[in-house]
Amino acid sequence: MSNAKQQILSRLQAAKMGILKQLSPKPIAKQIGTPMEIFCRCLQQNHAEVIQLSQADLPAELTQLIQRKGIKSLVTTQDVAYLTSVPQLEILPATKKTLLDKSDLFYRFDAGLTTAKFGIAETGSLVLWLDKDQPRSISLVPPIHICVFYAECLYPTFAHLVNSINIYCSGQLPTNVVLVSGPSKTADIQQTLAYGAHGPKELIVLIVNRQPDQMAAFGV
Amino acid sequence: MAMEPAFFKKNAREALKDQILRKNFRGAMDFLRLKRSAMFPDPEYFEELSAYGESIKQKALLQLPDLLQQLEHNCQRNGIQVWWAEDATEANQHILRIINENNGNKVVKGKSMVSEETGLNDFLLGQNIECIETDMGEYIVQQSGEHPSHIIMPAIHKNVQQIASLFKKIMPDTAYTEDVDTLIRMARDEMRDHFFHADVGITGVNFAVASTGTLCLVENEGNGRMSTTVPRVHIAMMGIEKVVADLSDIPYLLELLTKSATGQAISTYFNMISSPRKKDETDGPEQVHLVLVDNGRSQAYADKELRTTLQCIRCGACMNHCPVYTRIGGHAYGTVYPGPIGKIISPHLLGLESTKDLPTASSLCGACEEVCPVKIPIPKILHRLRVEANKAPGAAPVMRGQGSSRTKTEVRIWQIWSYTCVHPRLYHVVSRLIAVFGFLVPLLKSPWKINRAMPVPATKSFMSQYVRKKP
Repeated sequence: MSNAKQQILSRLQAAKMGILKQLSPKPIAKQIGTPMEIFCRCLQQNHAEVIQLSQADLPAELTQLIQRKGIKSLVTTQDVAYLTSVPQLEILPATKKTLLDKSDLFYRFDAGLTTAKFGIAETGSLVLWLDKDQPRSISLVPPIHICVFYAECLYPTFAHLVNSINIYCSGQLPTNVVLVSGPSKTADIQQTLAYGAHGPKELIVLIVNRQPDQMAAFGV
Repeated sequence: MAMEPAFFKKNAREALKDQILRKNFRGAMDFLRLKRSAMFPDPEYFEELSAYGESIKQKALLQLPDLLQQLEHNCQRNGIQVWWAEDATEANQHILRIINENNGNKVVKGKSMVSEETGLNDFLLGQNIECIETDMGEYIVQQSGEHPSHIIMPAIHKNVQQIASLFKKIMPDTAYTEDVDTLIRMARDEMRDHFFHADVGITGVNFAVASTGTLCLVENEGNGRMSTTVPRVHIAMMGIEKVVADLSDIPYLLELLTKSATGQAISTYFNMISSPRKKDETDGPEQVHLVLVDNGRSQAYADKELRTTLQCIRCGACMNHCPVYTRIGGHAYGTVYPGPIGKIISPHLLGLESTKDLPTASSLCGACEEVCPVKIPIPKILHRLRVEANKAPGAAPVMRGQGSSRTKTEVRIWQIWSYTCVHPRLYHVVSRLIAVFGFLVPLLKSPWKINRAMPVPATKSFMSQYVRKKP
């Protein structure tokens, strides 16, 4: 045991402890609307673009979105073979080799396409589960972030989600979990809001409604 | 303005005369207060939520030594290396060693108030290591050669014109502009190169979860995510009081933090880091280090009343609502943490010798306690610190620098006063003398007169009037 550790712990342990007064009851916030309505409203208030669609419409919607935004290059972990029909679109599959080439990611690619594992209605948050299948940079470095979210993975609050995580992950979280609730922003210059501080300037959320037989247990 | 708490009174007088500074703070504080109150429209809900937040933090503090060991154990299990630091020097040495072991010479930093506490930027610069602040506010402050004036919005003391001139100076090839979008884009482009080339990313920690070994970071800009994703090595620094028991505590503390700090239901990013890059993963740092910093916190911990100081989640609501902070700004305090929370935490970090004036700079109006999301009884602690600052030599040791405000003259005056008060004859003689010679009182030299009129004692004492009117 290092000296500093020993010293700090022994000082803390020497303190008189006292007893905890009764734990206050957990507060419950009131919100108006269904979870999906709240989710969409919060995301839009936070400057995200929200598109609701069915699984069958996803290829067509995504193609249209890419053309509308003038996206010329896209980095993604998803199987988007159907996008090869988009003229002059360069698709970079996020493999070990490509992500090591930071300069492409930093200076060349227009957009990243990811999938959120969960959503939180109360705050309009996408929950990115970042591990071997989903690198961190795609949702962070390119100026546009497109995120696919499956509607059945929506939780009413962060507290509800944490309950599930505690049950399913038994104390072991993946390398990185990030809640994303809008495009990157700052108000550090005289409280004036500006988007695209360091992360994406735009966040587009594609909410996909699936048939029951297409759904997966505990997220995607 | 000297960044020394010992110069607090002089700094405060200077700041009060600076009309631009006062206007910048007034505008910013009004903005933040409105944003916060819009988030808590129902006072009952705020009461419930903050009571729950308080009990989460109190529960964590009661188990602090156990939770720190549990955090260390679980972080190590996840592959995060944990280092303990008694003070600023030791924390900086750990960081320097990690940077050197990885042959690093370029460092990007997300926001970390603990790194301000340890003076990390200057320390690394002295070792020829460039450490770039990447939070927009911190970047502005670093480029101006200043320190943050607010713990959440570091450049709050500057207006857009001042920042526009600064950018023109540091980026001479660009045109002068006051357009905020353009200014942010200029800084973004500048910073991209820094992120690209950095070897090491340093950040703070908002909450650490003991049961899972997870470090949580709250931010809006994405610079925290960049600093913890792009460089090969990530070093996180945290005060030992930031640990909580379980993941289930986090949603409530997060809600309290973002709503109280900037009036947001949630920040853009909430980043939960549980391990370095795993073998089959394609990005993220290869090493993650956690530096646990005491730096005076265990002193506050030893006393049950002062321990409540450590409940703080660093939202800054107390300063936003403080009538003193709003008027003098953050720099006048001369400490890393300004405002009400600064007045009660700084004496533990620095000792009461240099900070003894800080607890006196309050009208004890109680606004800070009212808005505190974890119910820290700040006015009560300010009062307690005034007592500590005036304690007699030989009293039981509570904190570094106790008794620093005590002067022989003052002690003597109070001794005479109390002796007089318990001896009725002497008391009557003295009060008659004061009634006769009271007109001389305004001629006395006294610091009271600097900002106030000196009161003149009545020409007839209460007792003499009472005796006369008795039937």
